[in-house]
Amino acid sequence: MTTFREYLERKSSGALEAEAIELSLPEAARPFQGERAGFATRIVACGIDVAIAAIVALGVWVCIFLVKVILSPGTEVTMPSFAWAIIVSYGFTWMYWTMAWATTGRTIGDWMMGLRIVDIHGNPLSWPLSALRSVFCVGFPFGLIWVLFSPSNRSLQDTVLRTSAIYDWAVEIAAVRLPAPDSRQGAPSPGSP
Amino acid sequence: MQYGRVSAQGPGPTDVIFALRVPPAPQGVLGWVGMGARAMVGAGVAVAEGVVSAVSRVVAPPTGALLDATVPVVSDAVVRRLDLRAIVTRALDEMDLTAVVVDRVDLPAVINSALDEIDLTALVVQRVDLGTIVGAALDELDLTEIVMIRTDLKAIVTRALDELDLTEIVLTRADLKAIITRALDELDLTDIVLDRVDLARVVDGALDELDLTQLVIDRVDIDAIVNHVDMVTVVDKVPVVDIANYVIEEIDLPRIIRTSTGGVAADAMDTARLQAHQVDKVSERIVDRIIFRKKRNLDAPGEPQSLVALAEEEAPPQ
Repeated sequence: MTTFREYLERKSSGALEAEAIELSLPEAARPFQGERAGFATRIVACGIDVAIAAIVALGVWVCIFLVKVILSPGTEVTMPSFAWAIIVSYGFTWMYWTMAWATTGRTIGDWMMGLRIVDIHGNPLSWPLSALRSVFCVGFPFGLIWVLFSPSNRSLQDTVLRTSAIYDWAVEIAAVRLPAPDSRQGAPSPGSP
Repeated sequence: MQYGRVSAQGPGPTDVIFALRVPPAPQGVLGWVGMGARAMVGAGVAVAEGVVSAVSRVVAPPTGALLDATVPVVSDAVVRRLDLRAIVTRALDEMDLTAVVVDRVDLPAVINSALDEIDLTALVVQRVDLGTIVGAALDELDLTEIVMIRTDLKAIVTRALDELDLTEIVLTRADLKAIITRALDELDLTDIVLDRVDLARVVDGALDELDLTQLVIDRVDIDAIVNHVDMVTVVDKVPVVDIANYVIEEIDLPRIIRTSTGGVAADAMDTARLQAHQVDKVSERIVDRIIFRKKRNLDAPGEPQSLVALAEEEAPPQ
């Protein structure tokens, strides 16, 4: 058991922040946080996002079907063509990735696989850059294969737009530690809902 | 008186009887001088008597009775007419009495005999004004200097201390209360203690001897003290946030929250992430081996939120 005196000594030596982070991250994941992610992780995240987009498109398609059935009972329901569904799915995926990367830097797939998209300075992407990268990803998804061969784990889109997908596991409970008394009147803690 | 007889060969009276006055045993140099004078006188008398005896032999054969009758008279007349003082003075001038005494007198025997006869202590007590002598001696002498130079004070004091029970002497003979009272009146004890006492050592020694904890438990009413304490002030000084964070860390609250809220899903997600990362590494190694690449540069700009989140939280508000 750590005594309170030992705790204060660790705090004054600055070792406490790292320990707090360590408390929130699995030990095996600590060494590679911040590195550019590899192909497998990114393809899984991308697959999750595509699956979500497909589910959403399917949902929209089902909703349209139900609305038509309800509004025109007894008549034959004409559904949109498959091409239309694909276009809608692409559009939805582009919009979804643009919003996600420009705001949190993560899509749902990225969040689940512990990824975050950053620009050349390590900041979240701007809206235009995010939209451009989203167009690239939706229009040429095979650019992701370049991650395998890139010396810095960059996809083709990343190489062109100078962005990076890094391992950055979401830390949801880091804010369990209370802020210092003089900073308690500031903004609510990021970990709070 | 001591009498003697000198015999001579010839007709008529041949014996001359002389009488010597035996003086008492001389005392001191003056005594010896007196005895010498008396010896000289005796010798003069004897010479006179010898002269008379010779005259008697020449003039007429006197009888012993006649001599007995006339010699004393003649002796007295001679003695009266002699300037004995001058004789003695001259004899003393010509003689070295000290040498005579040293040569002829058994001084140790004389002194021992005299000392046996005399009670010197009583004599000194009776005849000597000791007070005057001692006073004069003390006036002349610097006793302190003499004692300091000629005395082994350390040995004396050590031996005295060995033989004396000072504590007992002080307790029985000294008016300790008066001594202490007077000493305390004349001394500034505070200054003395501050100047001469190593207070740190004294206090350390006292603290080593005492069980302060037990002393406080026995003698101090802690409840009464606590009742007088302003607890609000105390709590204001307590690092409550630090204590709360310490408790959070000690009970591992983040892990509890993660376990209770995330549960199986969070663990599964962590596992999936780790396995995906391992697949990343394997695939990178395979590709790197194929294209003969030694190492990839995976450092990305900026810091991951998972490592900077806490720092951002604890930064003071702008």
